Order: sequence, then structure tokens, then C-alpha cells
Amino acid sequence: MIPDVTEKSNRTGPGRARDNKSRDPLLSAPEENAIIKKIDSADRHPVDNRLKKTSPVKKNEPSLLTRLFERTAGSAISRWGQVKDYFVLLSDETSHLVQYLIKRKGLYPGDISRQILFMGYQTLPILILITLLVGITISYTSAAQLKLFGADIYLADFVGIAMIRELIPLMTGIILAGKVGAAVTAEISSMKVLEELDALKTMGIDPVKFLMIPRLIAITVAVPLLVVTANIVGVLGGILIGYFEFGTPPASFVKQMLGVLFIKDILIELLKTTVFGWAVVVSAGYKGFSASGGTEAVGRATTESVVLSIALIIGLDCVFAFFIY
Amino acid sequence: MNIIEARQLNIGYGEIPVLHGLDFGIPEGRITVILGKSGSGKTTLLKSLIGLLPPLAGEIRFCDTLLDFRSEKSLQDHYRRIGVLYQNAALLSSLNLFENIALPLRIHRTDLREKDIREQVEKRLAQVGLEQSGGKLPGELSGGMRKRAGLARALVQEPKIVFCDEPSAGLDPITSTQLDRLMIRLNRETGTTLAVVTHELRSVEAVADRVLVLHDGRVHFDGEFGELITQKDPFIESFFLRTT
Ligand SMILES: Nc1ncnc2c1ncn2[C@@H]1O[C@H](COP(=O)(O)OP(=O)(O)OP(=O)(O)O)[C@@H](O)[C@H]1O
Ligand SMILES: [Mg+2]
Repeated sequence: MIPDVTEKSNRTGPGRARDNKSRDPLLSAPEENAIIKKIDSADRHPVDNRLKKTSPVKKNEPSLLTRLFERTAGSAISRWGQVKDYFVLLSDETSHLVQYLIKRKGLYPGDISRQILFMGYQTLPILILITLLVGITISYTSAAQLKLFGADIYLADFVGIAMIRELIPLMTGIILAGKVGAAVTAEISSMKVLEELDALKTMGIDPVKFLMIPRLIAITVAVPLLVVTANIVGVLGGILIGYFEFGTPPASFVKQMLGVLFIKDILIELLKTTVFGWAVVVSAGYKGFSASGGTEAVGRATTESVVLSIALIIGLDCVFAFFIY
Repeated sequence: MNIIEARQLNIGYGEIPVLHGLDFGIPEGRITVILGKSGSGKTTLLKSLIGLLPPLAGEIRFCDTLLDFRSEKSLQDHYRRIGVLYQNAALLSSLNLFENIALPLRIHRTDLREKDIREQVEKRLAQVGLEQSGGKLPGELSGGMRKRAGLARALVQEPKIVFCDEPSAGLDPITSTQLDRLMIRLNRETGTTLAVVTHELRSVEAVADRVLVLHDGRVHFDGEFGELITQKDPFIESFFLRTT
């Protein structure tokens, strides 16, 4: 396989080089240069003439500033429309959720547990891997600093606060965006493109309710499961470093950590991560439902969904930081 | 008696109408074929009739009641009484055939027991000749099988009218003839009204009782199939010339 690839790149090599040459006069032969100059000057004259002739008309055209303003206003209005749509979807989902919790009707049986399995259980391996690695990494980097001051035991405080208050919610959110958000958007947008959403509607099934309620319930159930696991694994990373770097016994590490962490911290962590999870699922739904066009719309919607989720998570995290700590 | 009446319908996307001033009826218990060139707005018309695309102006009456696109209740009532076979069948790819057909029952008929659902779904599968394939996912079926399954799903709520968007598009002549026969049998045996969009003239000849021809954004012809073939109209003649 490998020689094949190099052969191909060799074959395309000269062609590409020639392209570059014609764009870069420094690299091209003198005669080529001359030709390019000729073309350039021939091109410029008629354009200049035309500009002179049409200058009275040009005066009536909107100025650059007006056009800039128009474009900004236009995109602001369309952004505002999108924000409005987002909140319409969110309120639609909330009212469906409340209705469902009261009536327990209108969902496909078994859908909720299937979603919990996907969002919770199947997200665990990657979450465990990443939180363990991040736990080890931040403990290791901060251990070096703490050693300078002989403040070994404060590693536990630092790891506890950094992981539980900040890193675990953030990482869980981002992993959910990449795994769950992408999957939800891909599924819904392809259903849209293939008329499956229309089919649901004409069967008298509300697609928002049918697709989003199981996912919202599932994320609400899955998040605590994920957070608890991530807490254990992330702190384990700190314990390992504490033990091997400073010889801190795991028991004293945990004791020290519990001295700075309160039940409130865990509750806030859970709340924060649940909000992130909702942001992921709602954004994924929003991008999925608003996809339009052919199959390429699926790819576009999925990318946009992940980007939107991550941006929202970080924005929300910032809001939480201001209001809570 | 017309099951659907359209009055001065303008239908389109955004502000620009694709179809203007449509006045027509779809007679109950018969098969109406909607004909037209590609891009003439057949799918667009169907989308309005099935309650997915609000018309820009005019009204649609179903069984003499106005279809109000702003009222969720009116739309839901409408959806309960229609069945739709989509161009690509639009089966849910995550569910197998059996579950696809059972889906409307599971959602709306929570009073039914599992045994009753099974019985009904199996009846529908047998009706379209797919009794062996209930366990398969839509991705594992051929195009023709998917369409038949789509038809079975459209029928499971016992609709008064079934809309079919290009049922024979992309099928070989034998499968498409099978599907035509299926529609005819459905109409003759249960009296279900059908509105079928199609390109295939062979299919038109086989199934049409009545024909609606769309051209230039208007209803160009609305009448019995027998009248259509004797028309001395250049557009209609050019339409039929290609295959005869
Ligand atoms: N979602 C849409 N938004 C805007 N315009 C559309 C949309 N869908 C269709 N159109 C336009 O409406 C017109 C009619 O399209 P429609 O799909 O109804 O044609 P059709 O008769 O079903 O064609 P075909 O036989 O190829 O399926 C076309 O000019 C098309 O460009
Ligand atoms: Mg069409």
C-alpha cells in the first residue's frame, strides 16, 4: 500500500508544482513572467475604462458602510431568529416532557432505556479513560509546584476542587457533545432528509416529542451515573500521583480532600453537568431538526451541533462560575 | 362525493407560489392519479393535501370539514384519517419492518394488547406479501420491498385515503406492476380512496380512474381517464406520445 501512495503523490507532484509556479512569479521562467504581465495589463485597462463610464451609476449604489451595516444587521436578525427557534424548541420539549411525565403516553416502548444505555453505559469507557488521564496529568503538573513549597498534602485539596468543581463537569459535557450530541444530530438530521420526520408527523406522532423526550430523560438519568464514576476515577488519578510522588497514603489523601469538599460541591457539580447534558441534547435536536437539503446536510448539521454544544457548555460554565463561586 | 375539495389553492415555499388557483376534487372510493412533468409541483401539492405544507391561500376540505393548518387538533384529526406512502418509503431505519408497521398502533392504540397488535401487523404484512420479512431492518430490504412495507404502514390505521408519491419510481417493471395491482386490489376490496403521484404512463393506464394533470402551476386537466386519452391538447398529447 505505502509504495502506491508515494507513487501517486509523485505523479501529482509536478502538476501541483506547476500550479504554484504560475501563481508565484519569482519561481516561474522569465517568458512566463512576461505573459502574465501582458495578461495583467490587458485585464486592467478595460476594467479601468468601465469604471470611468459607470461612475455616475456607482454613486447611487449603497456605500460600503451601508452595505456593511446591512449585512451585519441581516446576520444579526437571522441569528436572532435562530436563537428564538432554539428557545421555541426548548420550551416545546419542556412542555412535552411535563405532559409525558403526567400521562406516560406517546413514546415508543423501550426507547428510554435504550437511550440510557447509549448515553450512560456506552459513554463510560471513554469518560473513564479521559478523566483518569486528566486526573493524573493535573496532579502530576501541580505536584511539581507543590513540592517546591513542601506543600505535598495540598495536592488532595487541589485535585478535589479542580476536578469536582470544574474539570469533571466540563469534560463530561464535552465528551457528551462529541459522542451523544453528534449521534443525536446525525440521527435526526438524516431522518429529516429521508422524510422520516414527515412520515412520523402524518402518522400523528410529534417528532419532537417522539425523539427528544426519551433522549432528555435518558441524559438526565445518565449524567449522575457518569459524574459519580468520573469523580471516583478522576480522584483515583490524584491518589496515584500522591502515593507515588509524595508517598501520601490514599486514606489521608481522601481525608484531606473531604476536608475541603462539601456536599454542596457535589450537588452543584451534578446540577452543572446535567445542565450541560441538556444543552448538548437540545442543541443536537435543534441542529438535527433544522437540517435541510440532501445527505450533505447531515454532515454539516453534525459538525455544527458539536461546535454549538461545546460553545454553550463553556459559556454556561462561565455563567455558573460567576453565580456560584 | 368528493373526499377532498381544493378551493383556490395557492401552494408554494416562502412567498412564491409553485401552484396557483387550484380548484379540484378527489372523489371518494376511486383512484385519482396526479400527473405532471418533473418540477410541476406534484410533491408540493401532495405535501399540502397531507397537511405538512400550509397553502399560501385558499382552502382544503376533507370530508366537508376545513383543514385548518393553525389548529393542532384539526391537523391531528386529518392525520388519523390518511395514510401516506412516501417516495422513499421513509421507514424508520432503526426499527425492523414489523415494528415499523406496529409503530402507529403502539403510539395511538394503547388499548390494544400485544396479541392484537401482532395480529393486525401480520395481516398488513401478508396483504403486501411480506409475511416472511417482518424481522428485517429497512436497510436489508430491496427498494420494492420497502415500498410495499411503506404501503402496509400507511394502511395500518385503516385510513380513508392513501396518498402515494411516485410508488413506481426506481422500480423494475415487474415490481412496479405488482405495486399497481396491490393498489387496485386495495381500492376494490376495501374501498379505500387513493391519490397517486406518478410519472409512469403504464402505471397511469393500469390504475387511474381519474386524472389530474398539473402544468405551468395550474390544473391543466381534471377528469376521467377515458376523457384524458381522447383529448386533443398538445401538452397532453406530447405527454403520451413518449411511450406510445
Ligand atoms: N423545499 C423547497 N423549497 C423551495 N422550493 C421547492 C422546495 N421543494 C420543491 N421546490 C420547488 O417547487 C417546484 C415543484 O417541486 P416538486 O418537488 O413539487 O415537483 P414534482 O412535480 O414533485 O417533481 P418530481 O416529479 O421531479 O418529483 C420546483 O420548482 C422546486 O424547485
Ligand atoms: Mg416529486
